[in-house]
Amino acid sequence: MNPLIWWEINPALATVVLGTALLGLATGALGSMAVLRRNSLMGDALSHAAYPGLLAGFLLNGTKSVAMMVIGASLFAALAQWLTGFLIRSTRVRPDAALALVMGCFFGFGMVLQSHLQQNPSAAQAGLKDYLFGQAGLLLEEDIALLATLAVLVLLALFVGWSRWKIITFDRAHAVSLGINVSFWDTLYNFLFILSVVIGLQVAGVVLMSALLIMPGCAARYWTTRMSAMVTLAGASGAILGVAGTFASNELSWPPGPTIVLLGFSWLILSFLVRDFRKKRTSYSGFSQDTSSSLNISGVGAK
Amino acid sequence: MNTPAIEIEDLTVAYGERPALWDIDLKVPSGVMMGLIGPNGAGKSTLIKTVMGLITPAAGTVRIFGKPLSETGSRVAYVPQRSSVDWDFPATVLDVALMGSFGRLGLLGRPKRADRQTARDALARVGISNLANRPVNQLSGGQQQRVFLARALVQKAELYLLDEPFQGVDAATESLILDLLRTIRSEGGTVVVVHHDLQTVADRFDQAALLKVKLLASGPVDEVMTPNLLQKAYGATGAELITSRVSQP
Amino acid sequence: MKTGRRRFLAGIPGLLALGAGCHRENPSNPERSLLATTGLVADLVRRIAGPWWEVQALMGPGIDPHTFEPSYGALRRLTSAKMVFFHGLHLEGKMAEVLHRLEEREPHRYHAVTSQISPSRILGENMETPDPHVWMDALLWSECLGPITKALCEADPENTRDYLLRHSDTVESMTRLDEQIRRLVAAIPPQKRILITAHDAFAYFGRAYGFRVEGVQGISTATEATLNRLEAVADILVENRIRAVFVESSVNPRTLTKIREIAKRLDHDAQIAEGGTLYSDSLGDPGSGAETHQGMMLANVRTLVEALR
Repeated sequence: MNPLIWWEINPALATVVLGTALLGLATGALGSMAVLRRNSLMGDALSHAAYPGLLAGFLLNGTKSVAMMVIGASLFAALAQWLTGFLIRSTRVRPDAALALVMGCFFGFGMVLQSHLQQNPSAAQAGLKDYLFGQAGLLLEEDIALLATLAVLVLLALFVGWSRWKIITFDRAHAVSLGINVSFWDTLYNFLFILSVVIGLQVAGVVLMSALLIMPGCAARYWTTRMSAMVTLAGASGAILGVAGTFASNELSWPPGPTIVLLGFSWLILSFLVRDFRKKRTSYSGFSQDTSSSLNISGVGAK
Repeated sequence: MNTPAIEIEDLTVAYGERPALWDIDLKVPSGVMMGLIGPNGAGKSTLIKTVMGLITPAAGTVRIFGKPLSETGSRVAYVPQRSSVDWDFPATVLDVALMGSFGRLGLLGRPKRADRQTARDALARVGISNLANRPVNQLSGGQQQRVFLARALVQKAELYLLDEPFQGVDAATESLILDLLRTIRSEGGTVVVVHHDLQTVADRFDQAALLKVKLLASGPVDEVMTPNLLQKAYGATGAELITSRVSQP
Repeated sequence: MKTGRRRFLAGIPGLLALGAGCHRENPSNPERSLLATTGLVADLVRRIAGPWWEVQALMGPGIDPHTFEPSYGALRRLTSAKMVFFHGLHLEGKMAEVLHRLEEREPHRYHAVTSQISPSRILGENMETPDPHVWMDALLWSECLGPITKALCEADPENTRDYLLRHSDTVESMTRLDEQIRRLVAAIPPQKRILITAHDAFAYFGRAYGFRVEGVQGISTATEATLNRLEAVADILVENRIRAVFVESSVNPRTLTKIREIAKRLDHDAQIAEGGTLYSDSLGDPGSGAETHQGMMLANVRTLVEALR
């Protein structure tokens, strides 16, 4: 059956399914790397920080220009990220506290802007409040192009830079010592991450964005022992969750965004139960006792 | 061959207002096994991290085989402390060992068969061939250290910088590492080790550098491990440690 | 780097001041000033209050009352005003709690203009979630005058005669408006009287003037549009060959763009234009002609007739 027929039969559904699948692919893959880097909260922080940027972009431009809002959101997110890094590097504030601080401050500012914008009629026209909780159901065909571009960019960057990202994520210092330009790859990653967050805001909203980023990666971790497989699985499962979540939301008459998140969470719990629950935890790292029975010391070397 | 492996001049590194290294002048000749010793906070780790280019000094220069790090980086292998990495990572032992070869590969390059063989050989040299496909989150401390070493071996470097490789590993691993390092030296390589245990310095190293933010001494081990210098670095207890040593033949 | 940081930090208070400083004019005589929540309520109050009172609205034109969150300043105005008239029936969704408590505490100061409408006339699933858009039915809206007149007569007995006169004048004018609307609407053939909008604001209008109304989002704009609903509405569009959908002045038009997109997919020949902007939850800007209830209703009807005829 020609898949394009689907668009004729059920166009609302088709658009949203495709849109959430593409977003899920990008955010799942990128988010899984954030999980590995122990930076899972970054998605949450950035989505909260992007919110005032959206509003500011609207304020400056007056009309509902999406480009302006995306730029504003990205700039604020980038600023928040820089500020967090600055706090961690140059003050005594711990990483988690720094994230919470910056996130709260930026979002608080966003609330102030929102209250100010309430008196502005065209603000309602821009559907600004949809960015808080997402309105996946209103994905238009023109949005698909944007999401597809994002997905392609992410896939491309991951493919091309894979060897670099693998080493950087596992052992940053080693990457530097090998001569890899870590700051370039970091910047590229942050750029794509921020872009995904900002573009994904209208689907998932500020509140749910971090779930979309983190869940596929966390679940994928249970199923594989290789990073390439994990990231691939995270991206694929992100896409599938988007599709399944949208179908489910259609059946249940629930909003798509939250349905996807709930489904993703179920997937995570399922992964844990199937893969981890009955296994005894193997201990690792830091203990001087060695299980030397598993060691083969015959091939030590000449002398 | 006569170019020193590492040449450090006027090196100063500061964390904010606090100096970690102050005005270090150090020459590490090639082909030696040098132990970097000093009390906690002396700057030992900082020194090799700076040599590796992980930390930017406030002042001073570092030359490796006579050239700056940017040119000679590929000839240096860095083996960090085990705790510097989160071992709960989706990779196998072979994966990590292979990472040593990535510096040679271009952007889109993938490890070839020859690289895989090199990695397997390295695993064999450190005695963990049977662990090649084991996920790294299931390794003991000694095994982790060996994986790091294998990774360094894969790089086929001429200079090895190791940060406390003997810390918290079992006896078998300890002796294996030592043998390996000696082999490297006998093959013409240079080894610099941040070492924490004063008792074993004289046995294992031919040269030593005593560090306490400033370089207190460097050179052949016996010249550095004198009561006077050790007292300067460690205080009274240090002197005790060496006097107990000197009493043995 | 340090100076950059300082400058950024210094800029924040400035931006905050921007937000806070959206000032409203203070009434010249607080003793003779009344506060209404929406512009529509203010319009109604003015008809009775005449020259004796100054009437101000908390929400300006184009503001969505379903999602209006009262700021600290708004709450202060609510609690310090001499008398407050609000719509009721949960129109002011986020303020319902506050208004209800204030009304209970001081029933002489806080009045819901819809309080005298009999429940049998109220649309909506049940009384917990009523449809508040009663102003869309001109005759029904005239029933909201009662509480205002009563409150003003009590507060200002001297001018009772004037208030009562104004009351009956206004009722008459609204009856005439109702007749006028019916006449204008007659130009649209019955089978074409289908109204598609973003949210269900026109149920009363539909009931009073013979339209079938389909809103995507339900009674409140705070709900999310579900896919099923979007497709159902698009189906109706296509089946009935409706040529226009209508954007609302205070609601995100994206919903309607989406419906048009869906309808286009379902039936490639469907020609669905944007029929124009309807005023749903608020009045128009000053000078637009729709800044009074009467002006607003007529503007809506004209837009509808133009597009659907």
